[in-house]
Amino acid sequence: MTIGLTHYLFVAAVLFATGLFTMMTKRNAIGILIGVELVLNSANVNLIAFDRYLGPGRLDGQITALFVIVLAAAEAALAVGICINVYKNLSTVDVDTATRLQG
Amino acid sequence: MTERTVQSIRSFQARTVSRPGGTLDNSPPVHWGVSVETKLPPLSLSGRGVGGEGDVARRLTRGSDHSCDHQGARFSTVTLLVVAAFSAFTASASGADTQTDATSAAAPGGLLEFILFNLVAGGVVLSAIGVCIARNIVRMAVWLFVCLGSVAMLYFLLAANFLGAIQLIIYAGGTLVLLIFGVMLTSKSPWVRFDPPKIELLAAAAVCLALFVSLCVVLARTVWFSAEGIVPGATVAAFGERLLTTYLVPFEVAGVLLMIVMVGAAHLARQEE
Repeated sequence: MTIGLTHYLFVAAVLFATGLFTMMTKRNAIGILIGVELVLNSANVNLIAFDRYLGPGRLDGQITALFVIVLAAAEAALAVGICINVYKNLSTVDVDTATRLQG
Repeated sequence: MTERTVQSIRSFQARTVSRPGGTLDNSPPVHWGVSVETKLPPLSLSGRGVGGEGDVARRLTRGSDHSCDHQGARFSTVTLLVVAAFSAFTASASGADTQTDATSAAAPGGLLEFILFNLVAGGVVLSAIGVCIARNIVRMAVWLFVCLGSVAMLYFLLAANFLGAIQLIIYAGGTLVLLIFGVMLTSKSPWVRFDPPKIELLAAAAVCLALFVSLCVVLARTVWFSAEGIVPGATVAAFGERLLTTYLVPFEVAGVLLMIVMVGAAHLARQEE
């Protein structure tokens, strides 16, 4: 009945798989962005669980997770800006119709 | 369909509609919500003749009702499956822990931690599945909100207090609001759906399920070496000290990156004159 490292890694695996599924199946660009957020969260759960169980007190995993959060916020801001630009040009954010650069 | 039928459908107080032929159509109760005027995809449900405004209105409302029911059924079945798998895995993993005593040495948790972990992890798993199953982008955002909050609770359980607060502030408070603004700025109607073909759904589900199963097998087989150490309590002071000594260069680089991203995003999203 004790909670170990494996349980947290299992939750992170669920987050990763669902995030990957979201990225693969959603056609809305912002939906894909939501899937990316799920995957980044699974990485964060992994980092913090390893920090807690394998090296407590060293804080390396937590600081890395902080940088991941910062990068995720920056990525979300830029991606939403790009989505707004795509919507201005194509009047949709369906990623299947944005094929102008396909050649 | 005559005008009388349309009116009678519009005033749907009684559950029965008198049709021109005189027969009674005891259809199930239909929700007359916001979905009458919006552009819903007319699902092919009515086997009657197409034509007339009343038929279209009925198909619209039935389409919405049917899709809600369908989505609810899908969600509940997948949820039941995952909850069963999750509880089985938790039971087996805790059994393995009590046998080998691999990772549980550093966690003096007990029953309370067990209950709290199961509640919070169940919330994380369910909301993540809600994100990947929901077809409406607004529902996806709401499920993502629940998921990010539950992950923050998981951080608190892992004794990462500062990161839990950061997760709530930046993710649930900042990034999610940004995403919702993106949704509102880039959709013509809140009911627009982008449905992938069935074959792609099946392929993606197969790939993700295979990845998940292989990850679980690896996790169940791995024996982690456990560090016998103190479990830190309030870590914010130590956190700041490490951030400004060991991790000073990444900290500054992250600050520069945030400034560049702020300027770049404002430039990308600006209104053209």
